[in-house]
Amino acid sequence: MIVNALKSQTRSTKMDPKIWSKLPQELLEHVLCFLPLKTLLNLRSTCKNFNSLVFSAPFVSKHSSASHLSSFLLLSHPRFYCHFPLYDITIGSWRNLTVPVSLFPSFASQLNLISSSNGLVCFSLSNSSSFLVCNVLAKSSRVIQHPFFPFSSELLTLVSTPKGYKIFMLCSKFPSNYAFLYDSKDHSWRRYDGFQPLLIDTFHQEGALYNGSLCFSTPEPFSIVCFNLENGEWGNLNTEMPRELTFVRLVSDAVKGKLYLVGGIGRNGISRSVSLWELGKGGNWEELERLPDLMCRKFVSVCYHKYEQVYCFWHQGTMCVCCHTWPEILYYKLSRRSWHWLPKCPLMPDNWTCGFRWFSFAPQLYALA
Amino acid sequence: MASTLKKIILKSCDGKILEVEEAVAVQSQMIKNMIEDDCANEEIPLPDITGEILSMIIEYCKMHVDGENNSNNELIARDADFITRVDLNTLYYLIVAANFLNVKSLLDLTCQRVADIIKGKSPEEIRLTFNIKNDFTPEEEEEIRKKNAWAFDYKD
Repeated sequence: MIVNALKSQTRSTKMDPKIWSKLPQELLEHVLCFLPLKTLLNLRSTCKNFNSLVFSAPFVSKHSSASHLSSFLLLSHPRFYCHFPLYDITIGSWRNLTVPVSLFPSFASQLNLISSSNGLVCFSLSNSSSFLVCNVLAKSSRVIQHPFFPFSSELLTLVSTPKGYKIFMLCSKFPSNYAFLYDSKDHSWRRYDGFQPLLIDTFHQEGALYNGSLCFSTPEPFSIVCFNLENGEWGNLNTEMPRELTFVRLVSDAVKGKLYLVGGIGRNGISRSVSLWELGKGGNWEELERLPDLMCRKFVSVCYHKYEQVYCFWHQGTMCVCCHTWPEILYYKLSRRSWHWLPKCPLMPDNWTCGFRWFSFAPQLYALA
Repeated sequence: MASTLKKIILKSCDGKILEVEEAVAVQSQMIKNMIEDDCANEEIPLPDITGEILSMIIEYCKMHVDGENNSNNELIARDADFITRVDLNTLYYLIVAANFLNVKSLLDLTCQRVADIIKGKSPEEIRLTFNIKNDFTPEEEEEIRKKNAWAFDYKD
């Protein structure tokens, strides 16, 4: 029947504007819902309505998982104001992210990127007793006041959850030792007991999310403690630690639910080697891979045995080991079982020697700040 | 046996009368509602749908009723075959009619087809095709074009 109907007229291969311009607005929007996210974003400059559609409810529900966006290693340096070099590990290229000043409140003069989780990043606005959580892709943000004043915190960790995010931090100095947890569900802080003895033997390490808890390593004698994000209780991970450790960093692959340990092996604060362990099903640390000798020598000379400068994080199947005083990253690709150095960012002058903070950054349009 | 099946009578705007089995007709949510409200005993006039378009929609609905037991892949292949045979201007009338009759799967199929066609078009071509006025200033347009470009590199 159709075939006959179509034969009766010339088959047009172009959409005739005389006909299609009559398409009702709601049907055009329905059509746009079927476009890939990238295409629709490219079409935002068509008109103001198209631009606002990106955030409309039907579009959000259709594209809430944005796995086709690139993800990056993000470098924050105090001398890059509002600029963040991004490195795409899969295609091996650098680019520059400029966060528009309009995203920051006018009173924010000193910003410091302190944590990142999926599409969200958390800045500390040190002059104004607050944090700023923002989605730089969607260009949305929220100012969160510090829970008390004067303020100091350690181990601050932003954790994105399916419906929002949480911010954990330990405030050991004032007024006494407490843990604070911010929940975007009700936009408020809750106070919990802190942990004794103090956990801090590193400046830049964040907690590792594992089984609904944030895990931290204690200073020597090394052990692992967990803060339950649901009920605020502290617990111990009953596991025997590898022997002769010089430093311990915990990293988790939240997608696969795995916990890894990066540690130095040696004596008297001097590492002979660096190794990677995975927490096995039986609760034992299973050694996965040792850092090859030459790379290890470079690593220990780079951080000069000051392991408090060393921090680790997870980025898309890759374990990243960074040193606050060194511009390169040491990373381990789990799938290929291979170690690499990521060379210094070419956007950065040679004479910068300190203050390198790296984050895993996976932009998501619909992560709500 | 077939004679015991209830028939629904549809009348197109150009006067064509089509008799459709109820099982086929209820693919249209609008007609289904009319039957439930007992308003479908006489012929149903469809003021904005031509006989040609109506026949296509009925063929589509029939295909889905007959194909109920087919595998999902088979249905998708049939849908694809159906929609690629549709002329690009006829597609417009099919969308509007599928929307009016509320045949959800056909509306989605036709809209997906249009999305596939406009995927490669520039904003300017889109404006021309749908007669959309560009309400940005040149500066605003440039600003939006630059926005977030870093996030959308292809991975492979």
